[in-house]
Amino acid sequence: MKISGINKYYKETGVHACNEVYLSTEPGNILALVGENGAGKSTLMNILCGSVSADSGRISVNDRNVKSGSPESSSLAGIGMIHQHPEGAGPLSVLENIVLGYEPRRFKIFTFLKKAELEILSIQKDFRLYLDLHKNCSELNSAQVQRMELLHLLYRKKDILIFDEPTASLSDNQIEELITIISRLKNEGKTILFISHKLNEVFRIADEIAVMRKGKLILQKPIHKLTPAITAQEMIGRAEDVNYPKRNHDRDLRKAPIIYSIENLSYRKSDSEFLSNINLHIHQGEILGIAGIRENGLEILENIISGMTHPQKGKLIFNDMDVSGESPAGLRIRGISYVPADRLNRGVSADSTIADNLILLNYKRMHKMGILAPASINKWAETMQNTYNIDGLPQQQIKHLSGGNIQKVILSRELRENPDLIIICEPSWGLDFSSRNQLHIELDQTAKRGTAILLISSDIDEILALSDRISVLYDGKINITEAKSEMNRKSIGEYMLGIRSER
Amino acid sequence: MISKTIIFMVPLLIAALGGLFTELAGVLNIALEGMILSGAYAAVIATELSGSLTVGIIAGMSASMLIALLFAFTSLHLKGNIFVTGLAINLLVPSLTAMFSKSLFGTRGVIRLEETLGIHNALFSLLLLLSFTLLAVIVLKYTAFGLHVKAAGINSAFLASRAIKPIKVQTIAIVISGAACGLAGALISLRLGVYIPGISAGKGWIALVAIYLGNKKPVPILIACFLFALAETFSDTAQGLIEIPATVILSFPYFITILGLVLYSIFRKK
Repeated sequence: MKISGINKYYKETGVHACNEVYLSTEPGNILALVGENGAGKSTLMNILCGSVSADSGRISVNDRNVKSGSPESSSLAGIGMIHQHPEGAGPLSVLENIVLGYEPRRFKIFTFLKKAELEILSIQKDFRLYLDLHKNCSELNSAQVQRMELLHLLYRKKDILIFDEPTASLSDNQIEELITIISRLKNEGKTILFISHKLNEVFRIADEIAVMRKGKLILQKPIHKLTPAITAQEMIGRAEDVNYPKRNHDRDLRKAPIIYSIENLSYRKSDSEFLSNINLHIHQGEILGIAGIRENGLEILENIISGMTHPQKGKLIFNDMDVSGESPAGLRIRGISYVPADRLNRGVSADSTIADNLILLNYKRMHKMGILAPASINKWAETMQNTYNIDGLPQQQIKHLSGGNIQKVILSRELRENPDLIIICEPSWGLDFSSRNQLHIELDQTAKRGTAILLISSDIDEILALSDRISVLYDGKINITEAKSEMNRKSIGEYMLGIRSER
Repeated sequence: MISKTIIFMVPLLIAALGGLFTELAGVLNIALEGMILSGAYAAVIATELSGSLTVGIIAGMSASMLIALLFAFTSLHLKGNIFVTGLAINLLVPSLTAMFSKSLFGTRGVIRLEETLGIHNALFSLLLLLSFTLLAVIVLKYTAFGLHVKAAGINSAFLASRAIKPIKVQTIAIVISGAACGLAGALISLRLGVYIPGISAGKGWIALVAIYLGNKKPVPILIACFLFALAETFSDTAQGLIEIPATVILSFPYFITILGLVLYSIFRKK
């Protein structure tokens, strides 16, 4: 496959998303495309898939031209993409989801699911991609939905597979599985394009790396000619940002008063998702990191601590008060802020403006006789945007902002309420290095001011970089709670997977 | 009484099964009522003009499908609010029929036929019920179209990503519901041999309730329709027998409908 001289300019936003991009790859090759958010990776891939048409340039597969801007033409050339957050049709079976739109037929109108099933079973055998075809799609987790989409592409005999940030919402061991699958696909002679900004993964699986920055292709080189540090430098133009910023103070907080504690908390959602007998406490000004696998209790813990669901057993104590039965709003009044993992649905109102999202917590102070005063709203929004470096115009819809900017809107809004405790979940999902680092510095300073921060994350590096103490969740229980100085990447991983235990 | 119930059931079930397609395709189809009425009216007019009941039935279905197309065009293609467009259809049809009657027959009300459609046989009605239910089951479960309809209702963006236009699937579903409602309406009016304004008497709404009560599955919908038809038969028979004001007895099916909706929401919560 060859991409030559692709250009794409968005007039509305004035962004040159792709600027004379040349790229080529061959069967049995894993090409990783890396770059910061907004570097043009997604635009380029959408051009490849035909969902966006290029202003100029040529795409060819096996020396045959692919018509730009035509999904059919890309599809015929064997290009298939797995999106960042793949979706399925819930109550239908996995099999129906895979064949939807391309069902084998009997007598023209009847579906021939048996035939499809046999075909897919043989694909599953070839690639060792196992998934129960008769399960309902709604029972699948995000890794399995991804696998379902992959099966769909293989069922349609796609040879060029594009993975768009496939690990963005996967836990560490799901990432391991995905990496195994991708290398197997490679051995079967598929051409793989892997988009990511997690360099450690990229260096584990890719054969070649292409770096994009601000719409330009900076380089394309085999992996052995590059190091993560060099790649990172090319990605952002500066080297230091790849690493997490150092916390600028490590203090002994064991003597600080305890502000929040969880006592004997138990909750059972299903046989795989449950919490049993959780005990935790957090001191004033401390960052407590809770590491774990998202589907393995971390998500329920987020829901319970934030008041979205209530514990079946046990108590949540905040400032010596039992807050187990409080609603999210009630918790907020008492001084607990919540920055959710699902930012677009829970953290902001995606269709509202930036300004509207910024005043969600204090709009009651911005009115004249019960009518909202646009002048003071805009002034507030501008102050916030200047203080926290948030892009965009106050009256722009927030969903058009990048992930990092949306996170900044949420965090700044929550910080302005001067909470005693912040619950922050998967804060750097979908953020590029520099936004992530800014966020970490902000959290560090917040903790310094005496706010306790409960960090829930499935990213071990993030937990290590930010926490004062670390708790690891495994099998619904807290496997260990220890000061950061006593933990390292390897030991957290082992506690997370239950290889080690200190109970 | 059971045989009468089964005869009453036929139009209700046909309308409900037609509405099932739109419901599954993710289209809130409150226009069922108007479509039934248009079918009932066109059937009587065409029979009156041609003298043939077959022509009447075909005319009823075609008229209702035309109305369905209008509904699909305004709500899907012009993206009107589906509740408003549906309501508009329901308000438009009675006035349209009145207008046609006035210009064709000089009356705004009742149109009477010489002949009636002789479906008084419970066994034949039962056969109709079962075959229509079976047809719905087969189409929904074993055809590609059925799969597309369900996918359109569950996640239309996902269906679109598989190169199938959800709007097209939904339009076809609406036209199917139109054909079914037209047939239902024709059966109602031709069996009585008369068109009376408001002859559909809320059957479209009841059909919609039957869809929800039957949890959007053909066979449970059949059972739900049986319950509603039983209520209708009861009010029909009881009118002369029990000393309760006739108006109260006649409202019995609607009470059952409300009860059905309440029960549905209770069961859904569990």
